[in-house]
Amino acid sequence: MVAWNGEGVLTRGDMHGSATAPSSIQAHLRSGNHLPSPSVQEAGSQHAGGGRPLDERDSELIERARRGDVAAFEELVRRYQQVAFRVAYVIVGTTADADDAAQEAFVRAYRNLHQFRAGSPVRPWLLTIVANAARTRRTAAARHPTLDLDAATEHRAADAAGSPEVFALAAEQRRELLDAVQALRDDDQRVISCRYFLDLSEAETADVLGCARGTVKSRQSRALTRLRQRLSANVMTGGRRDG
Amino acid sequence: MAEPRFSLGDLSDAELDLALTRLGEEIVFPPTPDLAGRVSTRVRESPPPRVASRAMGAPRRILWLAAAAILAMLVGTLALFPEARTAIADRLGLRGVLIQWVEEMPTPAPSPAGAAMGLGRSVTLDEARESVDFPILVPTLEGFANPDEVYLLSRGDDAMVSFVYGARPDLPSSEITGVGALLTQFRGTTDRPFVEKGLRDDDGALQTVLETISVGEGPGFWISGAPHTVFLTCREGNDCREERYRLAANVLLWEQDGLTLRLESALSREESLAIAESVRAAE
Repeated sequence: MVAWNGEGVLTRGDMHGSATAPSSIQAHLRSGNHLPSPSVQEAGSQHAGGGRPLDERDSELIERARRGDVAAFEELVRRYQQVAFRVAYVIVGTTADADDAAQEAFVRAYRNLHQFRAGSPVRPWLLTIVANAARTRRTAAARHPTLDLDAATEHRAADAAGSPEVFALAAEQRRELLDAVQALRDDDQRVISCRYFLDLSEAETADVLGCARGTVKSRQSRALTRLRQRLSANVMTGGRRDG
Repeated sequence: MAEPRFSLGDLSDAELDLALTRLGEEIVFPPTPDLAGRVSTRVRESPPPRVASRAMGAPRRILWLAAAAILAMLVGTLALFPEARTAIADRLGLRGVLIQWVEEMPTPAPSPAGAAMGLGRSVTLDEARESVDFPILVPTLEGFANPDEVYLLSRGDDAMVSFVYGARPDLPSSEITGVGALLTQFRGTTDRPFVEKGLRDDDGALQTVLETISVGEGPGFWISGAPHTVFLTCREGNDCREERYRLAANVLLWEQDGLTLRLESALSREESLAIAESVRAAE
């Protein structure tokens, strides 16, 4: 069965063509910025681009929950609460609203377990419910999510490189890039957050943004174009070096 | 402090892509709250997961009309985006019908005739009417009002009624079913789905073509192209018995009056639609 697996999704690099010569930034990023793996590896988590394999444990938990086993459902929530909360946060922009939306979504999922198709992956189903709950909650006064860089990671990277100067610059540029992303309009920010910061596949991104799968690529492309324009404008005005 | 060796504004597309990917690894989200404990408390206080209701009340009817309207609007989108078509077919599905795409299908033996298709016992139309608790729908189109054979498959509260029409000049025999047309109706529920399996070729393209269409006021699917497999019914839950599958010819699937109908034949889409749109509850 291939339903829900996001087949046909290109890896992010493919979007721009794969013939990428090693360049200054790649060498730069590779030279010392080997980041540790995320400490929390959620079920079904993998890099975007391929299908998400069926997780047998998920299937078992869903079946037990369907029969009324709340403990099984609780374990399922624990497996997905991080990605659910983050998706909600990207949409609603505040931790309180994201908390409420994600919680509401899991309760809805429990009540609609009969609609879950046995044998399908759980994650896309849950993320769709989370995104719907978050969009319902989003108000006109919704805030941009505030994202920050991991200071500890930056510090570790600098130590590892043994060249504080290079990594002071790298950190500065990463900060500049993040600031530029956060200055983009909402829909651009969301597609970039889904694809790069939440590591969602194109199919999952479509579910989260509530758009057709075929439009994720073009939305992403437009967002990157506007991001580049902003970065170029930074150069023209002397850049942003204030962090 | 030394100047950066390059400006972010000068990055190539691939470099920007890579830079964002690496940036994503460093992003710090607010700490995830303990949702599991609170969700668990809330669901313990709420009723257990509900089982899909068999009766279609007024609110659900309105929902389905709305769904039909949405489906009609989606047709334009679907024509443009094949990926969207698959996704939407998977998700909206007809009540009681599950459509899955598979890379490979086992090769089932084609069934020669109505009786061999696992349609249940042979009955008269009147006997079928007395045996089921829903009004049986019958085509009013000339030549289809009186099926050659009627079959009834009952399992617990579920019932499926099938009409078999023998091959004749205007109704060529399907190589797969061995009959002219097969019209099946049953009350769709989401917990006992009727499964259609489509096939992809090695490139992931659909060999079996699935189109969403409207039949009367209801949502429907037209499935054509390569033969696909169908599970006639499923047992409790979603536990479908593999041995029940068989190949299917061109199929029109639609909803009407709370029932899911399925017309299988070698007829074209337009011919199938003409039969489908003539279907009414008999007096």
